[in-house]
Amino acid sequence: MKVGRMKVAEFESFLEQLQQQLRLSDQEDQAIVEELREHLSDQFEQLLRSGWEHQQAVQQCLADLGASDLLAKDLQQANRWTQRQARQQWYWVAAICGLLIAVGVYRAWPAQTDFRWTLPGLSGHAPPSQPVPVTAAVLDQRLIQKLEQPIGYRTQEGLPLEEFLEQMQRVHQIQSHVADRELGFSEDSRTRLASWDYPEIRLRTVLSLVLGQQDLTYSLQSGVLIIHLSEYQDRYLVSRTYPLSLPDHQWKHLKEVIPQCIAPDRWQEKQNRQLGVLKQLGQRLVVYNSWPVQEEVHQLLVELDLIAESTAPSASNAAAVPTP
Amino acid sequence: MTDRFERDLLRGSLDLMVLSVLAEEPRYGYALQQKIRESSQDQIQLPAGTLYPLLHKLENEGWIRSSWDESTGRKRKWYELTKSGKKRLETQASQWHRYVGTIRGLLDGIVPEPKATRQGWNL
Repeated sequence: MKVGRMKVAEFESFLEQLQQQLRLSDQEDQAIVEELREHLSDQFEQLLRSGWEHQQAVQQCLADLGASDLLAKDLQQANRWTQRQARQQWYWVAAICGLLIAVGVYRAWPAQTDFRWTLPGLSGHAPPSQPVPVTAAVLDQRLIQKLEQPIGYRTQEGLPLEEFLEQMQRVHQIQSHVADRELGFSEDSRTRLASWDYPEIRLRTVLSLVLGQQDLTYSLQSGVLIIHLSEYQDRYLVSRTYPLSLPDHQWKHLKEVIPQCIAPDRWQEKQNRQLGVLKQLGQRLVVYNSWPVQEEVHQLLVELDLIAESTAPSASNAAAVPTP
Repeated sequence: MTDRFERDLLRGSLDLMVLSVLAEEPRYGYALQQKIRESSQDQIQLPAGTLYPLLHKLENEGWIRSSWDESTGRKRKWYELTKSGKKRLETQASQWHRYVGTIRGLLDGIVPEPKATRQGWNL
């Protein structure tokens, strides 16, 4: 049952004034005002129940919040401090990503090809007169391919995987979060790890292991490998397109099934929070949601045989998302 | 008039206070304010004008997280401790105990411990 909230003119006037003084983003301003409105309402009702006079209760509630300009200043400080922190963190993350990508592109570039913004490797070495334009999907696909490549661990010659993992100093986390999933270990197999012959480990796995130590994770957006804090994984939304050839009635079912089966609370619009979007554009499914949701969508599409698990890289069909 | 030392003590321990109350269970702002008042036997009345900027700061530091919920019939912004918030609480609590122990040791035998008082703490 929805409980009605008492509207008090003095509160509304205070909140309106506060909203004007906040000067954060519209969304933040609105969320703060909404939260304080609920607080005022709770406190006011409690005071009335305790026998306070209407006007006294109003004054007490407003006194508890203090002057609107001081409150606005404190709230601004609390929120801007974070923006500063976030900017500093993102600066370093962006710098590291930029460096990684630059190194990756440099190493991947065919030596005989002139440097230009095309990806000849994906289109059978297109002649210079017909360059293939780089699209975000192509870059994504290229990056996915890179991450899927096996790499050798070369810290020491002949180092067994167990010792390699121990060097990471997070064996228990690796075992529970990554190793079981990526390498197919069971509880028993962990004890036999030393004698297990596993010559290669995927770059994607190593990346997860290394980033995981710092509570970081990664996602892909427009061909860029983005490293971010694990706790923001659900909040950071990325868009993906999935090329699908389906008849109309199957499109309809698919658009119903995905939000019902995969993270149902991550699609509907709720409390000014930007949540996921699912759209059909011609024969493409466009999904705007967090990376974990994207991975589940991709997995579902693979399980339904709507897309191949390992999509051949090409400019026209290049939006496959790697499974974790 | 509130003493500066008393005010600084209270301000310095606000994070610890809020984190410890949220460690019990998730709460929304008003419920959190009431819980602090009740737990301190009415001695600490944290004004809303202090509480909300503090909650936003703690959230932005990653020690607590919030989510809106309407299941009780009222739209509330609930706060709960994050994993790093739990660690932060443990660290702060340990520092607090160490500090109190040290000061107690310094005062022992010099200044007698006062009797319990109903005098409240004000920011």
